[in-house]
Amino acid sequence: MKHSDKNFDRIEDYLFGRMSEAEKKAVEDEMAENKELAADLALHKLEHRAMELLAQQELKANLDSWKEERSGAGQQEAKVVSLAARRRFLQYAAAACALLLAGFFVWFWLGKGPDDAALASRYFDETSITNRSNTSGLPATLLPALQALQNKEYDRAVDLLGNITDSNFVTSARLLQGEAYFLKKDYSEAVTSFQSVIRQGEPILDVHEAEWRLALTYLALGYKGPEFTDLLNRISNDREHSHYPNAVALKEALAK
Amino acid sequence: MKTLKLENEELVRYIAGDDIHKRNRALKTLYNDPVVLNKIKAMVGDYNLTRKTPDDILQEGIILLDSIIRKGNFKGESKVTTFLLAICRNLIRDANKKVERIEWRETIQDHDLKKMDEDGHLPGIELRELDDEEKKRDNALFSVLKEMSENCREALIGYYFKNMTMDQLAAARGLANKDQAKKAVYRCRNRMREAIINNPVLSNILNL
Repeated sequence: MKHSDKNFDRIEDYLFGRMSEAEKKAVEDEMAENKELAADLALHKLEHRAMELLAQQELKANLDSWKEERSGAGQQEAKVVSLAARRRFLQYAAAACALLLAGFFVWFWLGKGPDDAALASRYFDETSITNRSNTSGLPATLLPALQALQNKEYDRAVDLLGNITDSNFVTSARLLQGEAYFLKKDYSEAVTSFQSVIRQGEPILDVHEAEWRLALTYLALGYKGPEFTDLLNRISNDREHSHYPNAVALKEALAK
Repeated sequence: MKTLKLENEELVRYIAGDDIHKRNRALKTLYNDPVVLNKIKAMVGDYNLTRKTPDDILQEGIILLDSIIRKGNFKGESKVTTFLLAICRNLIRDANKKVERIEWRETIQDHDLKKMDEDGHLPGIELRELDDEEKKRDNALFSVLKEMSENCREALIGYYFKNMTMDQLAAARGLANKDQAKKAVYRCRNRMREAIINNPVLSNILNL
């Protein structure tokens, strides 16, 4: 089936509601007579429905990730309560048996694994672009956003970076935006930002930065599934990767 | 959980707008609004839902709300949260249906949420279930979408539903310029078109 450009644009305007009532009626009247136009419209409607389903799928994935984030935060709150309860228990235990208490402390502190979110934050802070950057040499386009980041004005930084459309700086802006989201603990948005830099595939140093930060964001979310382990393994096995030593150190910290 | 404060008009503007981060921020604000979730939990308490949780209802409600706002069908005469709660109220009532389209006849006010007709529906809002033919169509379209590359899916969704300009699309997809982005969108749209035409269920709908 061939579709004329004239029909294409008219039908798109019709379906996107970019027509006046009179123009809409003209299309509808013409469709009653013109079978080709009617067939084109039916096809466009299916294409639009497909794209609508895509949009719904994407939103559902975002909602699921926000849900995960929310339940992760809930678990952290629950952990605080649980630790408080443990402390109370230990106080009672102390009254009963000081020796047992000492033994419990030894077991508790040595046996406890690292707090993933704290570990991710520590590595993130140590390697953050914000901390490493000397603003004097930066392009004027990025400067206000970087200063906002350094002042911990994360929402402002996100807005400023979102407004950068100059294609020379869009990748850097997206990387910094991911950093701002991470620092404001909006991890699902950070994932989206870092993934978009990785998808671009270049410049390679930005991709390395985004990969490392994405791994840390997964960790901050408490997610250690295949995406996290594959990514961390890849970085820690690639001596050419900018964050190879950090990834090796992180793997060792997680293995403890 | 920290919830960003956005005013009603901002929520609508961000959801309908072309900045993906602002759009996500607005949708996330609604999703994480504790008042909204608590009200849905209270509504769910009136029914014996076995297949869906309050969170499922909220997610479905947000997906429907997003579609309404993006298509320019939300007139802003009700508060967004009030309208979302009205959608969710009716989703709870029709929890065993796959609701697709929403129609409403009048402005919904907060106090309207307390009103229900004898079937448990809010006045002024109707939910319509997909019929069997539409379900078959959607299943066939899902299989078409599966055949498409991730890059194509992102290009189409970016252009058609996130209102990204060709410049923005080029930057987001790592393409050299807007002409390349335009070509990518055109090529992907054509691929989707061919897949639709070659799908037996969909070609039947098109009477090919």
